Amino acid sequence: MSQPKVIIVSSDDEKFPVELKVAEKSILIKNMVNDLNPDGLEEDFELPTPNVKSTVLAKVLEWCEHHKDSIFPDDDEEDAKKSAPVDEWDKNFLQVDQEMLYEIILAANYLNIRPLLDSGCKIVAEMIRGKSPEELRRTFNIVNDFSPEEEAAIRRENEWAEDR
Amino acid sequence: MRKYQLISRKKPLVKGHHDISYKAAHLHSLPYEILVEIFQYLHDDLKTLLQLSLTCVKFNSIVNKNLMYREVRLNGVRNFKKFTSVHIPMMTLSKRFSLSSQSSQAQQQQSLNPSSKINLIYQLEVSNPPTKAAGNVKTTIAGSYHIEGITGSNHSKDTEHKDYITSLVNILRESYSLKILVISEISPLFSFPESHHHEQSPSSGNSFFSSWKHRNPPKRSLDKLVLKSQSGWSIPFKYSHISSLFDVYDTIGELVLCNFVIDESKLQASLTTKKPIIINKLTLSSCTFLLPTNRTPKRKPCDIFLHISHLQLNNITSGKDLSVIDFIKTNNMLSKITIDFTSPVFYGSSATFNFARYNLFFKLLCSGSGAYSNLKELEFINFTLLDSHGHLHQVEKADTGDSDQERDDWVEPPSDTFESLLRFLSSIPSLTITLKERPEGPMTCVNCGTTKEVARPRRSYCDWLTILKPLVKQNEKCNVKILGHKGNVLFKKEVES
Repeated sequence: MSQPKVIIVSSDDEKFPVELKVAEKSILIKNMVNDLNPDGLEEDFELPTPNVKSTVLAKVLEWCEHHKDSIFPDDDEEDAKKSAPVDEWDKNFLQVDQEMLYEIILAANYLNIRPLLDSGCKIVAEMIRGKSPEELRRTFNIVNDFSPEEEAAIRRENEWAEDR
Repeated sequence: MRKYQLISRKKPLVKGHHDISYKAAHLHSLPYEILVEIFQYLHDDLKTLLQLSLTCVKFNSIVNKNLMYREVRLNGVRNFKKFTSVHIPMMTLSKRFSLSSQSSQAQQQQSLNPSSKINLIYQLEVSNPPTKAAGNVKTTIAGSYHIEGITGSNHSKDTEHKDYITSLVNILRESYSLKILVISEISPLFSFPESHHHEQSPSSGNSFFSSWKHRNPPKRSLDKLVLKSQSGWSIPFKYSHISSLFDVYDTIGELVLCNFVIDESKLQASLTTKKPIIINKLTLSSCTFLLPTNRTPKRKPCDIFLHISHLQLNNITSGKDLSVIDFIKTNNMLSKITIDFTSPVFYGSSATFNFARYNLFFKLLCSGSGAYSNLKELEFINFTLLDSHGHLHQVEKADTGDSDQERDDWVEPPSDTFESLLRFLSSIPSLTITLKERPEGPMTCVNCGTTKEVARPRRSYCDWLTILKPLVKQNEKCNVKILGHKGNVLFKKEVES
């Protein structure tokens, strides 16, 4: 008999049957499965994710599949996690357009997949690093909503930080 | 506190005057906490943070609130002035206008208010605080060093010192979120000016808030104050190193002194304050202790340290520095001691712990008798002895088992071993041991020479009981806690009261 599967349903009603081990990368799903099946999973378990659409869910599950045997550092090892560079595979995996990147970050946040969320955030941080305000606005398509006076005030207030 | 908040300050930045809407999958639309997390990865890149804060209103507020103004570090006087002139301009201005009429003061109110960023500061670090002009007076430090005062414009130097202190105290007054203050690179000549808090006139200090402050002075506390001396110096600690801070705060949670000299007789002599000083914890890092030269039969507690209930000693270099415990405990409040186990004092010239000497010290400390009866809690940090001594017992357990137990009954155990140290420690009601992070690579057991490759052995509850047998068996009433270097609990034995 084959192992019972976890069937994750996307917001647009597409079904993704995956191994329990893969689905458990999401702490949200893991806790839900454990709470509702205290004696272990005996039959297929279907669960909707109304916040995640199929294209994104497919991507996220691809990540979970790849990392199903990976061991990630504990949550309490903050420092190690912060300074570690993004895993090479993750870096390539997250070479997607910005919209998809944010969708993956939002899904990882909702499904509670910490290592994926960390990789996504680090990649966005690297996109920000070293850019001027103008470049940042262009890269991320952000509108300057400061009045000239506000901008001048911020420059004046932050002057102390510039000569460090 | 509530009254303080009711008085509105500068207008907060008005949100979205242009009312731009972004689509859901956009950097700008990500939830606040995710943006904080992303920006946090740039926390050490101040240049990028500055750029980011100029991008848009939302990013500006996130960067200011969570990063840039959370921990403010101001190096030297120039940088400090630059910060204070923008963010806490009230003092220098109010001095200038102090003679003008009430109405013109009210007009100036807008510009005299501290900036909205002041209340975002959680930790403030200032370095190289200026000193008063010393003229040509020679100052003698610790009886052996002489410093020539810097000649030059004494007046401007005095003003600089005065303005600096006033601004610093004003930041502390205005910032209700500030919990940690670090003053580093303190010169041997540095001190706060004479304290005048009991005769402070309403016109001095900030004019606007002083009226209600005088009616209802709020109780305020600072969680942590860190003082570090200028590199190369060991400065005798005196009350004037902290005096002005007690104009603002009633309580300091923890005072950390790095590279100071605790001179008992000088501290006893120097104090002139009417306000009670409450410091709950004292941490001494690389500090030297000087015993009083003329010993009086009865030692008196020192006013500054009257309320200290927790003493932590880091990097203790000589045996006599441990006597500071005896000095502090005269306050009859000291109930907890934390000791850094990597301190050179415990090892001397050899690499191994000097059990012969310090077992007896800990025996006395934990004894709970006489002068040590107030001591309830002992904490070791950076504990390394389990790396080299935690192995043997597992072998014993497997090999000798019961015979080991029998031997204990009729042979007087030696008092200079790890086991006897544990036995002595068991007299304390509560013992906490925090392990030091283990270096990568093999560890060698000092007793049997076995080298193990295991970086961090995972010990079960039973393993811990075996290793700690002398401790747990000797006194069943002792609460024991073993923590990993990140504070995670590895072993815990609590006695129900």
